[in-house]
Amino acid sequence: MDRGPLIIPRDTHPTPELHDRLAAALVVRIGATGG
Amino acid sequence: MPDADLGFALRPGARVRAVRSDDAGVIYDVVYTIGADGMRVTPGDPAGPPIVFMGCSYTFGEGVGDDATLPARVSARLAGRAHVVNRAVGGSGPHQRLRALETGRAPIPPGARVFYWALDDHVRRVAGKTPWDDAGPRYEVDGSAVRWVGPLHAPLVRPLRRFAAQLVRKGILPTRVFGYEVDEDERARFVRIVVRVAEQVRAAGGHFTVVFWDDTPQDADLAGRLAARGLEV
Repeated sequence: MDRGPLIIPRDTHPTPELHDRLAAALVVRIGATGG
Repeated sequence: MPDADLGFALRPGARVRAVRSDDAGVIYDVVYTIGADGMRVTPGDPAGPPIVFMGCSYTFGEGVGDDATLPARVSARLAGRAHVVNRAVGGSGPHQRLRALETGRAPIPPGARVFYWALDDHVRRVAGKTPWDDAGPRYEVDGSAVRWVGPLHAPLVRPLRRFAAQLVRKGILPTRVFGYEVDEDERARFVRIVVRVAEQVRAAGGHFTVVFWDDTPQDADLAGRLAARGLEV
């Protein structure tokens, strides 16, 4: 599945897609409540 | 904005439109909203479990809107039930976060999950080798720990550094005039600063985790050193 580029094209920073993918992974790690 | 102790900080209450473009057109056109607390706004429940993000422009969310930053996406994926705080500042390093902790400017909420998102470039920032940070906090290794000794660069040399920075921006001087390469002592200093941040977080009852944005050999080396010091990486 294409989940979009990791770095903003012609820039050096993460794309919104990467931020969201990392957020999803982090939430799995810390639990759905965040606590 | 300039900050006498941290070198620079976000302006509380600022709302800034950030536009970047090149010959091919607009790269991004987004808004950065800074809260009254001097941190980028992140939705959530102030009464919920606290989650604190530390880092640089990557974590701040340079180039993305307020609702698309990593902390904002974590908050959204937790359905807004957590108290997510984005303490990341573009161009900063862990030395600024440590100083803010040690001076009580940014206390850690009890029970907070704290994530420091690192880049190997943060070693250079801790060492004072960036063109943009004159007055940030300088830490020196002191035994097995680190000790704050004042600003990165003395006021007398700052005009010269600012002039050199202008020449770097214009491409007249290479970035390496600021000492782009880092040495072993500076890597060790970075590690000890991050360890000290972890100690501060734990002392406040928080849980500290380091995440590296990249997986270069330099990042892997730093991650290994931090893990060897007992940090969760």
